[in-house]
Amino acid sequence: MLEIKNLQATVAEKSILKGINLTVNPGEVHAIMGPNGSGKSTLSNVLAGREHIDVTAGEVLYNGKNLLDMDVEERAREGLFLAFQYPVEIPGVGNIYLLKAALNAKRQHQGLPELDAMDFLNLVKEKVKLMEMNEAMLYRSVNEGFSGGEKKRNEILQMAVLEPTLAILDETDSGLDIDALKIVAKGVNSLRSPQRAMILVTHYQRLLDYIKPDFVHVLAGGKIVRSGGPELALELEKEGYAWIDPSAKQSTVNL
Amino acid sequence: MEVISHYQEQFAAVSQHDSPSIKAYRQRAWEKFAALSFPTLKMEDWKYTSTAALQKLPFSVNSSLASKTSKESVLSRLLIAQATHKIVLIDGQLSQENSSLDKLPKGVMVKDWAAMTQNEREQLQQQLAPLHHTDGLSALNGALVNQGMTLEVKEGCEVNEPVLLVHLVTEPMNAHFAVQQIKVGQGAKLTVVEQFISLTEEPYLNSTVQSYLIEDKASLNYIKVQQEGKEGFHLSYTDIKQQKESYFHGSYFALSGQWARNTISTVLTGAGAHATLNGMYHITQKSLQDFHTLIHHQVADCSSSELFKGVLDGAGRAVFNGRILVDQDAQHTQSEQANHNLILSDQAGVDTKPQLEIFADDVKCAHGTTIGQINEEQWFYLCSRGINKDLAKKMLIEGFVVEVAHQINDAELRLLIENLLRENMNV
Repeated sequence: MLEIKNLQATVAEKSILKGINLTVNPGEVHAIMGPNGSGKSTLSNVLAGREHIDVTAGEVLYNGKNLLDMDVEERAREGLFLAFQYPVEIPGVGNIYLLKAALNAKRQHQGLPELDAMDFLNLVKEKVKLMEMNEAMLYRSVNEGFSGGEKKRNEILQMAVLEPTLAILDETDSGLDIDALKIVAKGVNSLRSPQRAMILVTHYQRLLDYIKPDFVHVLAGGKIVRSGGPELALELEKEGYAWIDPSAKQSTVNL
Repeated sequence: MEVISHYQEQFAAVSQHDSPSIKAYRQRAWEKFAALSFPTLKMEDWKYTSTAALQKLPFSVNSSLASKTSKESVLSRLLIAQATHKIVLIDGQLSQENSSLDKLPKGVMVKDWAAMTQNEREQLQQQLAPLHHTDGLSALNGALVNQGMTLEVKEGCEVNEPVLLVHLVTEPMNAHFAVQQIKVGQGAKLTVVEQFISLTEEPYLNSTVQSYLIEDKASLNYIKVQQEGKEGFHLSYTDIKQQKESYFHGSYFALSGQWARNTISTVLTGAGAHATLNGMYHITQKSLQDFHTLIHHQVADCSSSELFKGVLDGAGRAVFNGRILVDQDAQHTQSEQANHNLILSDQAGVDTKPQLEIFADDVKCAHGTTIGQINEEQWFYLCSRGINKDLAKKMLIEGFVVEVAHQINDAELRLLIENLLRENMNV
């Protein structure tokens, strides 16, 4: 589904990604872990299509197509979804209006008719229930005045409505208390399916207690330095990143 | 100047059938106009708004237009086609067939210019005299006025449904000089939606001088929707006087037209009064929208709130001058003002000037002004959900302006105006 080959990228002329290789197949959940500044967010942003990142080498194939050639909105319509680390507040634009515009854009792309108002509302309400959100939030402006946890839940709500093929969750656990984390994880787990792949980008192992990955990769200094199964995350939890990150060699390694 | 002699001829024609005292009133206004002439950029109040285009067009004052507009074509343009209370003025004349006044409560009196006696006209003029002597253009209205209406709500009368007041222009190159008075008696309640529309895409002028009186504990919710034709000129002066514990909530939507200037002033003369002045202007192509507002706190314990938002596109210009005047006696005044502008084009611009003059020492006054562009982060966020760039941009512009509509008190009108703004942002 997703093939990242030797991906190199710079931000403001600073080299951040230095040759990423990663293959993600349908049904798989990959966790990408790494210390701050390792390039985790740059990787998710380059996949989502942020313009301030310059790809200097390599390629990304998504379902056989060159992902990097596609516009942001086209990527989304093709089934790519990024849950933002910092969801944006949009005053005056109703949550439900965004969901409707986004879902219809995708359906139109797939050659499907727009959902009628009742069907749409029923679909959205069902997902709202899944995320244990208050229906009133649908009628509030996108993320405006939402707490950190509400914003993250709202991201997963959008994901649940849009049913992406490939979801990238960028630090979705950051800023969540344990109850909110459980709800978010429940939402994400309910979306796991043999046709759908997920990439969880996270600093901490905590999220992975609730969303079990099939593969764990360690990103450091702009490269994947180690890959393994879920046990790798536990190892990281125990030992920290110092043993793996060349730039952090001086820090104490707790063994 | 050629244009002055043109209007002098109009003046002579209009005043032909007037009583001597009305003639004298017009004469004084005319003399004022002759002395002041058209405002120029050298005048502080007109620094950013040129009247050059207005001076080039010899509009004619024609008071005897026989309207041949079909009922359907009028109805299709009304903001609230099904409104219970409708006053439709076509080229300044009350259109009986399009209006609906029979369901108004007994305490409401509506009278249009044609139905007024010379005496009533004279009284109305007397009350509008200060306003008619504001500047050259308001004086021109005083000299040439030949249409208008009064709407009075008696003490304690609550009008539960909005009164739709429509001004429809059908002919090009006409000038409409109107006066209007709204009185809301003690404890009375009224909601007015005033709509300006046109069937011509060519130039014309709507000039209107209005005075509102809101008595003790009375409430006036007012919405103005300027949907002038694309070459239309709109010039309006509004003076509002608020008494003790009165409430005024005005929302002004300047959505189209070539050139428009709104001068709105409200004076809080009794303790416990509140005024909200909100507005939104959308400029495109080479249009101009100018709002000059004044909220004058004369006495203690009053509050006011003002929010104007502008969407600036094409090569248009906007002017916002928001003056808040707090007299020395007006202690405990609470007043906030904001003017936010969204610029969508390099050629568009806005001159915005908050003007706070506070002479009392125990007050809470805040103001803020911004001029910005579409927020890239928000834009990216929407696009990352599959929404195309144009629609995402439109959603953001709507989101920006809709805040003004959100403050409208009546839920149905709020929804109506929200939808209207959405439509307006489509062009």
